Amino acid sequence: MLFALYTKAQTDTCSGSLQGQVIDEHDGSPLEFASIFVMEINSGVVTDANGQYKLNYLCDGVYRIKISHLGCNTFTRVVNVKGETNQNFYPEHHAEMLKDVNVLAQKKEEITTQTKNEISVEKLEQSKGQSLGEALKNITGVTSLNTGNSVSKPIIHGMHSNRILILNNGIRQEGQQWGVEHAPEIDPFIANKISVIKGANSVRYGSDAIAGVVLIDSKALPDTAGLSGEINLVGMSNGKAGTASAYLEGNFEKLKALSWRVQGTLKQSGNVHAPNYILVNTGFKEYNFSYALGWKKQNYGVDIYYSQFNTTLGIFAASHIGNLTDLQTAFTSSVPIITGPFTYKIGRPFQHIEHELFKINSYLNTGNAGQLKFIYARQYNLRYEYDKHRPRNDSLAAMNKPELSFEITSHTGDLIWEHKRINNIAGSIGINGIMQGNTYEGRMLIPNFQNYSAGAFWIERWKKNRIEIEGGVRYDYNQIQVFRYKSIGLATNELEKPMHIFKNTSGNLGAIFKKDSSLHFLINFGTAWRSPSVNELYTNGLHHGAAAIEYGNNLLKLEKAYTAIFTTHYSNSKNLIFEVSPYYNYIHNFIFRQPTTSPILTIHGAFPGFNYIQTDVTITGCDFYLNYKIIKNLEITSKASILRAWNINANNWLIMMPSDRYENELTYRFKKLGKINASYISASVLYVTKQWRVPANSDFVEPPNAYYTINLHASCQIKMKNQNMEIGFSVMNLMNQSYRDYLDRFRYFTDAIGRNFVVRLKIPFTLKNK
Amino acid sequence: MKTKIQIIQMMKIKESTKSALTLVLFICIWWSCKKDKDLVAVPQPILNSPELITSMVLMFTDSANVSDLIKAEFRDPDGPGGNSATKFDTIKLKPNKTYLLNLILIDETKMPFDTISNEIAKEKNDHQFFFSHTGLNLSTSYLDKDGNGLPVGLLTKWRTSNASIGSSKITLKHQVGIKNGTIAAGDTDAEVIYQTKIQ
Repeated sequence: MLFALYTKAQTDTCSGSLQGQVIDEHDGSPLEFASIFVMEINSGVVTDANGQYKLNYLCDGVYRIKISHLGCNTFTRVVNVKGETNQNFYPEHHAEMLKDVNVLAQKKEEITTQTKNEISVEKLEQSKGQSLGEALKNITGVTSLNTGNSVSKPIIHGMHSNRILILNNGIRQEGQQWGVEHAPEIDPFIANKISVIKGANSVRYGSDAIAGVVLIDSKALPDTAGLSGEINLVGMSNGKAGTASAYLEGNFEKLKALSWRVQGTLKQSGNVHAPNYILVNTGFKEYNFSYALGWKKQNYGVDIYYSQFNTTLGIFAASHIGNLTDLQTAFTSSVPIITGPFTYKIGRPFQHIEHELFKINSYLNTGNAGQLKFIYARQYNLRYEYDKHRPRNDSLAAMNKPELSFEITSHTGDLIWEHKRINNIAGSIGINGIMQGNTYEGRMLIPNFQNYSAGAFWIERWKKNRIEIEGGVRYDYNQIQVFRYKSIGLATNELEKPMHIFKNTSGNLGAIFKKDSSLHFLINFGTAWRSPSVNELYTNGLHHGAAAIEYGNNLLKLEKAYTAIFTTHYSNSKNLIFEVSPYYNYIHNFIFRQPTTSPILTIHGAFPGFNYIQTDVTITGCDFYLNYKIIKNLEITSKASILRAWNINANNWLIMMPSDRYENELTYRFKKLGKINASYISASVLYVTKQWRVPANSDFVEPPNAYYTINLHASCQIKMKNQNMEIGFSVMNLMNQSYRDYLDRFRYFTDAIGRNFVVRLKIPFTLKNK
Repeated sequence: MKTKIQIIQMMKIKESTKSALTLVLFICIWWSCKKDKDLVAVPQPILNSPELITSMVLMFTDSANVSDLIKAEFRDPDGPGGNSATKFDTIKLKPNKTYLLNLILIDETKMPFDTISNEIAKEKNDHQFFFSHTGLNLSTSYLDKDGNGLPVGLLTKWRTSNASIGSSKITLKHQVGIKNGTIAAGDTDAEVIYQTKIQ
């Protein structure tokens, strides 16, 4: 059974399972008729011809599994089951002495009492070809901050950029994430699982996840011999866009410990169009690739991962603003001030971004006690921004240099020891470190800086019967050394090297109460803090895209958040899944941009000025999810995200917060028909209310009106040679509605994009090596 | 299908070769990493900073008396943002006179100053200055033309009549490929509103 959105607040409802393969340790061949016996429940299964087994309806917990096979010694393994757990067994086919080795299952969830939602497999398929930010909108409480259709940043509970932590395969994504038009540099095709932890309660991943954490996880490397892969093709009518992505992975028969994967994506789009006009210079080109290599033994393992993300994207030509008068002209005009024909060509202004990640991930089982993990990663992020006009000076123009460029290199290291359950308590302890350097060329927007951070955490989890309690503490130290030139008049500048140090503790306390197998409650209290980012401290100048002059404030203090989130989750196996999670955030010294009392006079005319200041705010809201099977094949999914943000000091609403949104989806699932299975057709209506909760006269134009969009999806799988080929078809914005979203930065200049037909094709394949 | 056979063959390569391949792959991974810059170098923004307009200098010459020179400046030496303008003059002209105006734009963040108006003269097909006066007995006419016969505005004639007080707005528009003699097209490169007195 597939749910439109499989929201699972993290706990066991005894829907866990254990599956895997039993393989001969020596020649790697699968073992048929091996017996897998779970001692705790006095029940077991026998492997099939491929050595595969599956045990359903297990509750999360630790089990002793007895594996026996003719010609092998019977042995016992301790397996930690968490949801759908994979575990292979490697009995030795000789009569050798076998030690009782404790194996920790591969898929181990580290967090439990937080509210964590995952994008369902179905929704992940539907969002293929779109950006990461768009895919994440499938989760309640998550919206996006857009700069047109090609730049989409996730917003969790109203907060974005430096208040969200994005973990790409366990590594915190480090780029120029402070910028509102800087989207996460991640190829969504690397992910087979995307989930969001909501609230300021991430002791494990870093203190600065004020709003939450986005987790992007790749598929585990194969651990059975063979060669297989998948090809994905996506075509979109709006922008005449095409995406092709593929991976190939394998595991050597004679060297079972070694497995590998190569993956790549190519993407191109031309100018997209709103219902009534073409948006000039909105095309983009993207190419990404990654490779992974894993060496895995029973007691230790090493993974190497490398990925590269490269994109060149046009910035909508009519969004470049010379001054406030130009902005007025732009938003009083019924069509954008620049229109033109469709083309794939990308002209000025445009951005070119490259992101590179190299990671080594290793683990060592420390006897019966637990597992030691070490992760090192290096990231390099390059961002070139080209202005609308070339420099007038010919020699400068000939160099064709970006007017703005940043390069940031980050080294991160994590050392974690996870200990297994002793007297109902399991937990982990670890340290993290970051070393980061940023340089710029061209126009000064943020100065050069070095950043050194170190953190230590300790999390323990106590579990007994129907109650589970988790607590964690964390301490972080962060040092930012800035290098910048300060104007001292008449084209002379002086080098300044201010240093900022921030340090603080954060903590988290949560509990799960399981009423019965279908109903459970989660409650979590947490704190998080973040240092002011370098742009908030030192930005100083004009933003042509935003028609604003911003003044950083180097006296800003750290921002601290206190959060409480309470989730009720009900799911019966028959027809109903229901989750409601109200939340409350109090943020002390919340950093935001406050308009200056009078406009700033420049050679370009008058501009509104903004100072970075701090205030105390509350952000409260509720996320709601429901999936109900009306009749056998027909189900309805309802989602709602409601949010209120209040500036306590100003006694007014907080600007730039998402308005309430409601989505209803009706899905009809067809019966299996010959080789065609998992077919469905669905229609969804998204309704977004007008954001009237804003301070008066705080924006150039009033927030846009409420809108709705209708999307259709249809998909089916066709069985071919034991593989399920998947074909999908979607129509986005079916009614070709003209609308503008409050959190789209291009709403001043243009309507959002119009109707879009999407065709998707997924072809998995296996090339056996036998 | 060829690839399939190749892959199968690859699988059959002996273990030693496999280890060698792994090594090669490792080296590939290392090489593909982009070169680290030093974690942070001292910034060199002055050399690399892009073109900026910081100041507008108006040089009025009385057409009947070339020694009568009137200057009005708007100067913001560190550019937009940062410190505010250090000099913002009022234009003071005499009644019933004809002045020739030489308009100069400079970038004072560079040493020596970069005269942007020279670059504009080179790219005159893509630029135009516009002048509009409120509350003044004053008219302005263009004295220069671009390659297509459209006005530019680096050189203009200002004819005053009776004494009056008001303001003069000077706007430079960047109109690549779309210059048509109207202020509506393109983006604003510079815009200064001077207080003007004819007395």
